[in-house]
Amino acid sequence: MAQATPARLPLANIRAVVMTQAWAGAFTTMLLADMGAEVIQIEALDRPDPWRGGYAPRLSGTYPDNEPGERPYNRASSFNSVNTNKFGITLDLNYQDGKDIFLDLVRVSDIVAENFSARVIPNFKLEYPVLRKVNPSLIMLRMPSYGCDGPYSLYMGNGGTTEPMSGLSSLMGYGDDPPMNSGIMHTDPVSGLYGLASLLIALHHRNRTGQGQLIDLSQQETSVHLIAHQVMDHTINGAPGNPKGNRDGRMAPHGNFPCDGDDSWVAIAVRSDQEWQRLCGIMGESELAEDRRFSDAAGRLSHVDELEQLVAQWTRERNAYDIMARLQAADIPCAPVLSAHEVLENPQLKARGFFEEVDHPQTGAYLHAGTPWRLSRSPSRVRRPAPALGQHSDQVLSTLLGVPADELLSLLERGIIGDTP
Amino acid sequence: MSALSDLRIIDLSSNVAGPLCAKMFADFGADVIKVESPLGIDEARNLGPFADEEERFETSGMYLYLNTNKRGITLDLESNQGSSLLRDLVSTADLVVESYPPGFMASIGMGFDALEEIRPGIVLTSVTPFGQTGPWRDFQATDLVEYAASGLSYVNGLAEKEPLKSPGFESYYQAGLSAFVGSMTAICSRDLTGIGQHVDVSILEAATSIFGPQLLASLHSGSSPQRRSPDTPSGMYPCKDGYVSLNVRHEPTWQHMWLFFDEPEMAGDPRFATQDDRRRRGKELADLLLPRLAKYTMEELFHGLSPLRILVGMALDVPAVVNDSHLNERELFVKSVHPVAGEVSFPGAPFNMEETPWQLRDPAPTLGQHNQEVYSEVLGYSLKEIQGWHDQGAI
Repeated sequence: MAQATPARLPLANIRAVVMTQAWAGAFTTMLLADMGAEVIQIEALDRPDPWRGGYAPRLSGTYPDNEPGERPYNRASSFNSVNTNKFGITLDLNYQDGKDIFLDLVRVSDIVAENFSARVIPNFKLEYPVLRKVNPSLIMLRMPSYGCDGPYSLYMGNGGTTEPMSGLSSLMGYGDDPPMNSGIMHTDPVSGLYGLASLLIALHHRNRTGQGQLIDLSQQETSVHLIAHQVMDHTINGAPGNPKGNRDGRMAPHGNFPCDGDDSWVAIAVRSDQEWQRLCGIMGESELAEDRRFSDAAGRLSHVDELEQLVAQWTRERNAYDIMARLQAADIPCAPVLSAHEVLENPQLKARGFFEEVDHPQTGAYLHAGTPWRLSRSPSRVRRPAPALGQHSDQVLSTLLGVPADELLSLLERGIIGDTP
Repeated sequence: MSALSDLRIIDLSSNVAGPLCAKMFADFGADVIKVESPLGIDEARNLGPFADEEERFETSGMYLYLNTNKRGITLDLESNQGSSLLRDLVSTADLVVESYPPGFMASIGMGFDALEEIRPGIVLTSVTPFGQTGPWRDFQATDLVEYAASGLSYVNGLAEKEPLKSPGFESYYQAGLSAFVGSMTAICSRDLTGIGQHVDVSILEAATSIFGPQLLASLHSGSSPQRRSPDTPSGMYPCKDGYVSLNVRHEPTWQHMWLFFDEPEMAGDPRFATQDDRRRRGKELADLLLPRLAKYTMEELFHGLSPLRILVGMALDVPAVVNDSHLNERELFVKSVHPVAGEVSFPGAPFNMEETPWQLRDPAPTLGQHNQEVYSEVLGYSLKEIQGWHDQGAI
């Protein structure tokens, strides 16, 4: 079923049957598909991936030109952004026939991945020992919010709960604010990358030994890794871990400074005394360069309020990109704070072809963010847009499993498969 | 058995991203030889926190965390002897990880083409702020700068204040993990074809890739997402002893919450009849919830609401995370005993693999700790030769 690609992709011989949903798991399996794996995404008609934005009249998605269209679940930006290169089928696992088909798919696959809450797989009686019976070398990745065991394991979670439960929210903020979640719930994609790492380790082990295995990933735990520094500051120094805004323990100035224009900002990080001297030169502040209060990092850190005001005075009437050009010419870390639309115009990302146009039959063509690494000899490209709901049910079931046409019809009539809610 | 014990990695990288990539290899069994050169002393040695203020160089927490299970050697990349030793090492390796500025490896005769000649099938993974190509390739960055350019800062924080970066080194983690995954893919490809490749990881691209869903949404809607205005409820509500994040707009969550408060009739309040009403009247909803939430602790709400399938999270601070009963029952935190730093505790397994578990075999190496072991046992040089290079300053 895998279509011919210009160069053989590294995971072209791998098949994954996945029930990943929303972001974390879907990100894992999208990147797996980017590298050439044949990824078959399973959804239930009465419980599609929540990132499809639901069915009318309760819609929660963002749609092209804000127009949900006849089949909004095929047009939602969230689902379509993290499911490219996958095949999509519908299957209701509450029916024995649905379950049998799933087990048939497991039999011919290398990987099963899911990120439901931990009670779902046991409820379907599809735990690893059951799947292993039909496929002894199977690799199974489970990635619920709190992992597969322990006192919280049956609780539901998402990015909005994982951030506070991993300590990230308590560290985000300007100083004395209440805990704050991030703008877009970063713990999902971080967990997604760790999940993909675990699959590649397991595949390597299986190539050497023929042995598959179960992987238990807790999104709370992968998120705690992000704050390893603050964890150690507590275990070593007893530090309470307060939010520091954009400030840094070693560098000053280190922040986002206001620029000319509406909500325009520039990030500046001064790593050394030499860089500070060069910044003073650029700002035309020879007196500041000689000001002993600011001559070393300790001084700049202890007078940081005043320091930041002085820098802001200079940035406020200037263009963010102009500031970047001048500071980078002097090897000082600096970049504008870009909004989503400005990111799409970022000259570096454009020059490297990071964005790729994906033509989806039900939305039209849009740019998508690319894969976060480049292989010189196996370039990853989008080979197909995210699947419409149930788009490949017939194809996968008939081609891969040899399900005859009359049985497909019966499955469709009973609502076990289908492409319309 | 260790999953990656057949692999040898030469880790020339510094700071967080490259060393995290090599750490993943080391923690799952690969032989990772960390190489520090006078020009490339690991920046993570300055990141702290410091277990011993007198011995900062060897006791930086981030260095100890990022370099578990590696062997540490020194050599001067720019000396003839050092360069020759590096070639010897490369000839035994599967992967080289580096984070020098673009062009540096080629300038010392160790670009990908040269490495491939020394060791056919080798993989070179380069982790840099903006990638190997493009107009920004020589630009400088820190996590703050990457975060700003990726679009992530713009949506973090409050509308009337400056955009915020995430705490820690998140863009570096994204890049380090991307580098690991890219390297593993390249090794997988090599196993099939015998051919290696150069893996180019741009920290900016790694950070921007996690902004992917917002980018497509902004193209669909025609507007960029903004930081939250202070009037919009954050979903973070104060309770008796802290804060909880709570989302109760959906059915049947809405009904269940009022059962928990023992006021089931409130679920029928016509002002909040639909999910949309609850979103639109977020401020009024907060006024309704706050006095009720104030009667309960974070724990009471978490353990009371979660079984009702309500999405609720405790806003744990760092000490609470370290003491969290669930994380500790799952043994997330490990203790590493280091010859200089002593006992240091940090997060251990990022995920639990049934057959090939994460393992802490050795603490991070001290500078040059394994010179003799690597140069004599791996490369077969005599102790006398090694002593000679040491005296010359090549190692």
